[in-house]
Amino acid sequence: MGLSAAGSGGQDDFWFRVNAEVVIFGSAQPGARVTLSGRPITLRPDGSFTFRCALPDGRFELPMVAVSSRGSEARQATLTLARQTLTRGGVGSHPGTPGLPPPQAIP
Amino acid sequence: MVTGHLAIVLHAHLPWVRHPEHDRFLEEYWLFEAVAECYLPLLRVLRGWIRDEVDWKLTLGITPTLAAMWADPLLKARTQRYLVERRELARLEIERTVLVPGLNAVARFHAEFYEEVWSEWTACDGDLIAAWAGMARTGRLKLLGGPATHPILPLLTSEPGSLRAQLDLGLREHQRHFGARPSGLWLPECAWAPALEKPLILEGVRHCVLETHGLLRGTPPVPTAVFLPVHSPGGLTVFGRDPTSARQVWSRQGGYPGDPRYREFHRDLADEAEWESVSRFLPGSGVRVASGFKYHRVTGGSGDKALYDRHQALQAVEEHAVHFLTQRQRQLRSAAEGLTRTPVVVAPYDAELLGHWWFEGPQFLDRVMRLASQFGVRPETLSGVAEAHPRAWVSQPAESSWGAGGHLGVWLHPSNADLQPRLRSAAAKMVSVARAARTDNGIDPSSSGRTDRVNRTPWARKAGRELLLAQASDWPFLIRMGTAESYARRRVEAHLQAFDDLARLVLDPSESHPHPSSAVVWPGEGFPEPDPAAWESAQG
Repeated sequence: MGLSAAGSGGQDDFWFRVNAEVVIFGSAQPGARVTLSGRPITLRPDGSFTFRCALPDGRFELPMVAVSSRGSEARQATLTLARQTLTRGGVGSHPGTPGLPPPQAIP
Repeated sequence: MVTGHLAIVLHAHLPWVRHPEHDRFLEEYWLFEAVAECYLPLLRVLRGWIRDEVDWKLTLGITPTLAAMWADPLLKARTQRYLVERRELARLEIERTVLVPGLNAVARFHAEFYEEVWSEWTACDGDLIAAWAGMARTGRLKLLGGPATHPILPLLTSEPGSLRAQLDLGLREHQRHFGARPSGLWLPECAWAPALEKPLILEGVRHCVLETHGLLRGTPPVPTAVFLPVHSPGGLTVFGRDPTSARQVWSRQGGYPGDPRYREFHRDLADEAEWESVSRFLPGSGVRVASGFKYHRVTGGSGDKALYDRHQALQAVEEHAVHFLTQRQRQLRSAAEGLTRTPVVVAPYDAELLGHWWFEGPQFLDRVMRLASQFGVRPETLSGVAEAHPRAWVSQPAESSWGAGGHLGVWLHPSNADLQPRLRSAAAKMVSVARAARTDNGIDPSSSGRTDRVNRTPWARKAGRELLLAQASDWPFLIRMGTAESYARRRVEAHLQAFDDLARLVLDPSESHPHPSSAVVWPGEGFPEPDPAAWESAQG
């Protein structure tokens, strides 16, 4: 078995594509204000939250802060995430198959 | 000083697609995408012209199928759901791309875009008919009508019943929706045959647009090329499409939309995102179809695509608007030298090209209209030009269409050639259906019992509707282009099968034929019904 140089295609149309996203989830007291890197996160009515983001290669520090609804109390958690992708052969990053052809075309 | 007129004509059209039997249906998304990317952004552009007192004039053809979909409560509700979901997806995309600043900037742009679209939607309360009718009341927008289902009219000249039914229903629906019968008609696919002249005039049509060679090869030839309208022998005002302005906007190679700075149509978030995160925003067919979020620009070359940069794209718009008007100015100056009257450039485009295929198209139109006067180019409507030229060269335009080859080659192609004989056969049968319905006896379709004299016209009306929907030019087009081919074939099959079933109820109302209950949903349900008398009276 050899390693194809192309991200897709190749002699037998074999391809391999890899990408990564992370899901950060948790909960806070309903009504609290939660931020991730300073950006507000939407809480569900029960205080739970889910935050999904693409994770490119690199090292990232994600400070998360929750402030109580009265502003009297705060908690912080910092997540440090790192991704390093090493590939052999052609490896793409988009999982998609070609979309359907367009509904109309130019005469 | 005014060098000449520029008549931009937009042709807004989608085939009738409505599938209440599914909660989400792939082809209905054609409408939702066009509303979000084209019809609402164009409305926003026009509102800007009114607000800023721009000297604008525009002609817009709205086909009866599109108007019927705009007016349909189910499709309206589904369009709103689509827009709500785009706003939600925009919010999630801003979150998802937080660690990738380049993507995040484009995600924020998309969020702004869909907020603007949403504000247009809510401003008209989702009523696109009322919104465009309101624009027409300014007098600066002139609407064109069209035959009911966007058929190739020259193919109906041997079936006068279908031709009359298409025109009668299409123009009546236009009047019902927009409050006035249109003086101009968009010829589907610019398809013309001299035999259309009389039926169009009888229906009150005063002007239409033909492909360039329709005028250039007219009998007798006219010396004004396409820079002035001509009158057909019967008095129809006929405009010819200007080939240069067409090429600059339409062409895949060398046309403006191919500029590396514009948003890339063919690369969509749906192809790139993790399936679970994006699938609930798609039609639910399990296929990665367009989400409306596109992060890349055309870029050019064979390498990876660069990220979309809105500022750069708008710079390209500015350059292209100036180039477009510079070219029109030269063209009109040159034409004016040989004419005693003010020349016109007629530039028709599919409305969906602007915004859907060419994402920045509405901004291009905006800049062209705002800058036109600086180039001595005066925007005008087709009817405005027609009124300014009560006298014109008389010539019978030649048979013609747009599309490859210029003579219906797209719609009469080996790949779709099997459709025409079946459509003709159904059309011939429809004449018998209309006559039989008028005889007014048989089995009452509204009850399970038998009576001596009953009304079969309701079945005939539904049969006529299925026939008209089968005649749409979209089906052979999609088959020829290999896009949504199987859906197009299924639609023709469904309409012709329904037509046969309904025709049988009218022609052969024996006990052996079960009556469909009122719960039967015919494929054409929701689309207006024609008057079967059209098929009778047209037989001469």
